[in-house]
Amino acid sequence: MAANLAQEDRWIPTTCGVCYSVCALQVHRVNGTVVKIEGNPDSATNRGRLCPRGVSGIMTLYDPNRVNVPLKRTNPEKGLNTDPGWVQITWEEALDTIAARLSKIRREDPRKLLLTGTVTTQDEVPFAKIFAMTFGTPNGWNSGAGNHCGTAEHLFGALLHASWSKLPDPDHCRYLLNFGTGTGSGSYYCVTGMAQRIAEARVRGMKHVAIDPFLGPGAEKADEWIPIRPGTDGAFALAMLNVLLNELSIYDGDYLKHHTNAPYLIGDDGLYIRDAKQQLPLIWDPVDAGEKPFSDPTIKDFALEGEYRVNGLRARPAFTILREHLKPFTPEWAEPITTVPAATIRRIANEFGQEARIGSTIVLEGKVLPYRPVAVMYFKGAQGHKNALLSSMALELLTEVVGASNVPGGLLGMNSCSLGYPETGQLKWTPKADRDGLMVTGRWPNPSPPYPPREVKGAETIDLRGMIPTCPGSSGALPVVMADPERFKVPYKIEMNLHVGSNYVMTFANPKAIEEAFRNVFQVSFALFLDESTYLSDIVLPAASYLERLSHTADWISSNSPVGEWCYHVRQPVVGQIAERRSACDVLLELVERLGMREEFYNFVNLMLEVKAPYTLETDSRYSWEEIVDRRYKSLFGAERGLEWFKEHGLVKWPKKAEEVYWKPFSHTRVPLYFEWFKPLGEKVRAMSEKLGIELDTSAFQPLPEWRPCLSYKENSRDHSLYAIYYKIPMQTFSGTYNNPWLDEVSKIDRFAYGVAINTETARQRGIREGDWIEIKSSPTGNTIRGQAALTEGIHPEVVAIAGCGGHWSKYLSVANQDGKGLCFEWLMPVGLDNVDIPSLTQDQCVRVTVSKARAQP
Amino acid sequence: MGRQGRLTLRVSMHNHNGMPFAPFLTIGKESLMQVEVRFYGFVRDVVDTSPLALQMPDCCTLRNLVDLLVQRYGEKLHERLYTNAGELEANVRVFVEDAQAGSLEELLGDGQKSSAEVKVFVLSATAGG
Amino acid sequence: MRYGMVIDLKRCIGCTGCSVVCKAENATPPGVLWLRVIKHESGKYPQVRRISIPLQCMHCAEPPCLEVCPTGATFQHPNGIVDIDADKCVGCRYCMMACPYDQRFFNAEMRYYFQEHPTPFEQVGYQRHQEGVVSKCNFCLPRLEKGLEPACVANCMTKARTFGDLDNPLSEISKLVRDRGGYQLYPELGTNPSIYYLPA
Repeated sequence: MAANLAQEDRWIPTTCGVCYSVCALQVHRVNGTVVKIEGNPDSATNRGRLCPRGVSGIMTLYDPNRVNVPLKRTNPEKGLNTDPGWVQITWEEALDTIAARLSKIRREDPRKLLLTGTVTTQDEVPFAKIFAMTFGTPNGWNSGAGNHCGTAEHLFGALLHASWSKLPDPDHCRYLLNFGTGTGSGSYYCVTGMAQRIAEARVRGMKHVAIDPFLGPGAEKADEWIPIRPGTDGAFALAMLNVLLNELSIYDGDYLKHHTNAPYLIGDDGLYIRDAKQQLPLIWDPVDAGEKPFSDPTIKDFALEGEYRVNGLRARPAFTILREHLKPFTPEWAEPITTVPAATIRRIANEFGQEARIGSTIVLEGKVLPYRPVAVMYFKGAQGHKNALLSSMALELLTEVVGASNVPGGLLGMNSCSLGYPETGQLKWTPKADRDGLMVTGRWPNPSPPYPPREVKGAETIDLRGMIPTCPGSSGALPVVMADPERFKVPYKIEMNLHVGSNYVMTFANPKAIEEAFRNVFQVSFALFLDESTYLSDIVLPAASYLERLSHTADWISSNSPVGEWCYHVRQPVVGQIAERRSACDVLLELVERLGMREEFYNFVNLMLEVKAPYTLETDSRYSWEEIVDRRYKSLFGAERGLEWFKEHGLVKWPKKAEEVYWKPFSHTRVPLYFEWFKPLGEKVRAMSEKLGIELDTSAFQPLPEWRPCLSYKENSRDHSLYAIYYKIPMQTFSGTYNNPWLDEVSKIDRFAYGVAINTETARQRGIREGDWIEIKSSPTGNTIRGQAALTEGIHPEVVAIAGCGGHWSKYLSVANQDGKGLCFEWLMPVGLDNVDIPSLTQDQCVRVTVSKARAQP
Repeated sequence: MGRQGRLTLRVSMHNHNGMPFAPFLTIGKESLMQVEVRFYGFVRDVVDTSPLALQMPDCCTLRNLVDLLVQRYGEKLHERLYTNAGELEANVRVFVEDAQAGSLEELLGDGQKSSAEVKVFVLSATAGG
Repeated sequence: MRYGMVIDLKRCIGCTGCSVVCKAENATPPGVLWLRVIKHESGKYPQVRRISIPLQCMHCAEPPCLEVCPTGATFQHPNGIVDIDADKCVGCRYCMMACPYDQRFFNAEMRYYFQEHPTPFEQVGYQRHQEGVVSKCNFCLPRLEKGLEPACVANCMTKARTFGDLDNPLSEISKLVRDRGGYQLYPELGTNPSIYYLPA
């Protein structure tokens, strides 16, 4: 063994960028080579530990498949399997070409520019958003909105939790009802931190009930696994609500009266009854026997029940309407839909209701707070359906009716309320009440949160979001509208795609449909690899990975764990520049100069990055990316804590207060139990769609949840008798990690990671044995994918489950593109408006398939 | 037009090329201030020039100014900036001399200043999560 | 002093973080995976349980591998760690046949993860490995010498692993074994592993 006298031996604090958890790292570099990545023990986010993906980053840093130089295509023909004929060009030529195109589009119509991003680059994509905003386009999406992201779930995050996402209180929750998420098991938000915290809760004795078609990473850790037919979680939740409210009479009356619109009087038209003078929603005070505006200081009590008359009209509290509305949704009704026995649904409702301990309190930091140690989690799986809005609504109401929302033990928004960094008061946000008393979120990753909703605009965007303000982020309708803007009366076509770090061809839905929508667009890609999406690119720019670039980071409101401490980190390069790779932020700044956009861009940067005097960017200077990061840090954390300080210390943290974590009892805001404004909004959307001559099914804009089967449920074919679902595993993030050979090595020895989970009996009926190659053919798309059968008792007999987004075919991914490296689920998913939940623009992701043994068994 | 209802205002407007527009209201007596309006963001497809130089009485409110801009640029700008109830959309931020305006009823000037710089930002949500 | 480890299967989520961090810490080449996670399923639909079980060298007090090693390459430290002197190993692999846990690995031919493109990491890290010899978990001895815990222990997301002195009845791991019913794998073989599992 050679003796190595190290001249350099450094540990560099930075952050991981493999997924959106943004864990903090200490990276060990010896003589210029990165030899180890560890969790930063100082960070409150991941507390010194990492998931396998975080550890594996070294092999992505040094992967020889990485794009190292700018490239342009020489083959004018574009196709999923058509080699672009890449030739190397200089950065100068690349930027000249890009700037010329952008200039032309900006002159003609800036709306023709689309920004395609991803959630895993939590620094470059937000900066690219600022670029796109300045440029003047409203068009952008994160491609995972098809198959990997929550959409309706984030909408309700805004409406009910003042946050993008939510987690169970790991310190105090006693009963976790988990509809299909992997929280604590290697996916969802704050992966590493929550894995530790949920493990503590498990050891502490928290009961975990997992409702999931597959015994996957999440359900494996549950105390009870309840298999369910895909897409029917909403029916289960409706039945539970019915049992709680109408059979057991378990609900938190106090919470409902003071923190929701449950007491608001609703007329027969389904709308609030408002007082004539101030137009405020009315409630009924049973003590004074009269109606009063909800905020009237003389109110002695709020009626939740009953029927009253106001100005001669029938007036009922929203709670009464909800209770009545729920009556048909019995466990017996839900059983054939979900395949969950009625007795089980009833038992779970009872357990949940009992464990909610309504009326009990706990003392934290000297404050007496409601103690409701139950939480209902759901994410992509349960809400990724045509019934997204109404199913998510039912699931959320479970938490609300027992008052377990943002109180100790319950479901906590990440991160709803921040009192700010103590030394500067920056990074402060609090939910506020609007005129109707309803909660408006204090911070949102997009310029307008879903509530109060923007006006319905016609044909403003290339994805229906302008018309449907309840879509919280990326739209599942984007490829549909892009493929046929005339049908949707959009007066322009997308001509250029600024594509930052996403593999949208693989991660949205049917790649063939995506190819058709994007084929004729000039695409500029910042790419780590020549992945499948770059087959549609015109120019590829060599991207610096997260280990090679600088950023302020972890601003994503869902990176911070919901409890413990606030923690903001730096991301800094751990190696010098490799080849010609550059950070997108750097490149965008150069494009800004070339486009003469400096004055406008700096104004937006000051606004969006919260840069304050005396650090604001002035137009007569030109700033590097380092300088901008430095100024943002100083604006937020003070003159002493600029970039240099962060590079040395890695992070700043301070303890969370009880009123930040458990903000609901301290807040005068109310959240909807009854989504009164959905219906009139739906009517506006319908009116606009009719005016434009577009067919849109707006019937799901309802104030109360109901059951609507998704398309796969309604399909009743003997051929396509199984459902295919996708799920996340801790060894892979979407499609981006499949070329990492360490992750490949551990995936290879897990039969589920690269295979297809299928019920033992279901397999036997088809003559399929363990390890057999099988074919899964999609009913809606007709595409077939293949993988090896992993037989298990731990899956619903009607379901096959595919992990992650494997099945790469790009010839430039030497590890990932081999046979047997997972399946690309998205081939099974159709693109079309029929598959989209119109109110939230969520893409449906369960499909009917045929499964058979492949004729050729290698 | 104008805060006082019956009082009408004369404004002289020039576009970026210095071409004057015909005044469309009669003269008021307040002192005039130079107002420079700059537009940023998702509004470039509606507004054909930025910055725009105006002269307005210093008793004008921001609402007066924005209404004037809407008159200049048409219904499309109205749709881009306003809710149906006549308030600014949540993604529109107006800054007067680097301070964000809290309400459209704020006065443009304070009687002392002879000029004001107004920035109208129209933010767009170009990607979600 | 006898080093040992407790793995809490209730905490473990089968994420394979330990498996990958072992590879990163020890720069093991392709095909040499000193630590792996297997899954064990039991029951019939819908009453099914699947648990994750991390496996590595058990550092047995009575190591069968040591007995069969013809060259003395496999030896045991006073602290209980079973180790291999690669210079003495001739690659006969008797030890691999003898190990009932199948946790010894033969590096037949030094390869790189990207075939003809050795990464800088591998160029540095593979200097610690030889071709044609057997290797395995060594409880991260170089880390222990620096006062650090084994990499798998330090990195585990759920804090499922605890490391310490089995000879000390008051050590954390001794207490865990006692209080939570820690058990060894294949205890009937008399190997007396120093790795204990806590029930899922």
